[in-house]
Amino acid sequence: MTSYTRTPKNRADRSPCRALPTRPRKGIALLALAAAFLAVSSVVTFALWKTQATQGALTQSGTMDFRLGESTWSCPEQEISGTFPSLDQLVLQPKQTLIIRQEILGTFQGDNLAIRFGVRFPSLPEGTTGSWHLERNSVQIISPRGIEESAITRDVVGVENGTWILQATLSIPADVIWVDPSQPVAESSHIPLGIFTITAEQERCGFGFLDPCEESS
Amino acid sequence: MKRLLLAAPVVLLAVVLALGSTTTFALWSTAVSTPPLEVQRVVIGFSVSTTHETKVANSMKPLETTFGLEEADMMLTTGPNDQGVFTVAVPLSVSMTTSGGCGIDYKVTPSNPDPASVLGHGGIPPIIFPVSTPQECTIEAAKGANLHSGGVVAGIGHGQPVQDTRTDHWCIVYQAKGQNYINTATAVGRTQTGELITSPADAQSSWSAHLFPDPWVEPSTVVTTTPIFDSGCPI
Repeated sequence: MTSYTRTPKNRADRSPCRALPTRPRKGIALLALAAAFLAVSSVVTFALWKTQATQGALTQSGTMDFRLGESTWSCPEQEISGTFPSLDQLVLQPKQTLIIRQEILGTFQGDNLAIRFGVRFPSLPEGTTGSWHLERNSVQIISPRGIEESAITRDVVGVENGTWILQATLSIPADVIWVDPSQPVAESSHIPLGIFTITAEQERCGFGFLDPCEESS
Repeated sequence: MKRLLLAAPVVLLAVVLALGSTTTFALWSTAVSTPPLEVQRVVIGFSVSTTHETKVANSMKPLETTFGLEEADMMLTTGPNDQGVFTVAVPLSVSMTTSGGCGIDYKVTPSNPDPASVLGHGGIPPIIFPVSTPQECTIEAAKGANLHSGGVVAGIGHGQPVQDTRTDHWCIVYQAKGQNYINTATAVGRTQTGELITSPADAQSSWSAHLFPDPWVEPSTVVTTTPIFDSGCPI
């Protein structure tokens, strides 16, 4: 007498109708895991860029980083200048010019890399006008732009370690304040300018890309 | 089959996430910011003070301070000098402050009091001269004082980047002469013998009077002080 035991865990004994649904579940899980891994890894590396990407026959690689160097200011009408800590001592007359020069100590290495520079003064007093430009070795590599306007440098080729100067020229409506001379000077004599933010973004343009880089100067 | 259809959107989402992250993977972006920055605006201050009022400017308009009842009463209470002239000395202070390299000068001009008033009786124009402190403003100080001619007074020089403050003290002397009546009383009579005699004229027999308008209705007399900024001040 042959003994026959039915074992549900034995795949050979399963019916095809029961076996089919188990395969897609594992596939979905793997795909989701892969997607999550890619998403997380891209966030982690976003702030410190170093990559190599292939587009057709062209290989582009590089590294970019920058930090702020010395910050200076000047007022041509008063023929005075200084570094940032002393800017709050500058008494600006109406219609006078404030020039801020900010060193950018940068590392821009790569082939055919384009960088979009921008400047933001989010809290300037109402009515302030001005422009900014970028210098390298005393030569303007980005011509004067509006305060909230960004611009693309010419392509960076090879190693571009060094110092750039970003100069902002501001005309601030610093109206005169009348006070009682017998009283201490009121806090309202101060004009907050807010923070000064420089942004740099890699652009996909120019050689090897479909979009041309806009002329910066 | 039904489960396959349910799984399809999940797979699609996973692919989109994977492709999207790959697209931004190669783009580099950063931003650096300065600490909060600030500058200062030009501070201008100009005021004129007397013993009973202070006027503070909020524009370049001239400031007008006044004298009147109080000074007229003081003048009459003090009385005349040897020449029969009534005098009163009143201090006036001019304070100023500037910054941002702004220079500031000014003019101070006491107007002639109304001839029908106590301070203007007799038509003598007031005099003004500088003093070191308000306490130095006396009638005696007017003698030999360097009288102000009425031109521009130098205040704070231009080109000072930090705030500078200064106060000048002045003394204004009003002089007035009332209608003066002098009489000497004498008595004339005859003695019993018919001789004509006259009483001697001495201090006790003389009297005088100075006639002034009522000081309690004294009109205001104006002193005009005008700030003047140098050409380097964009006010």
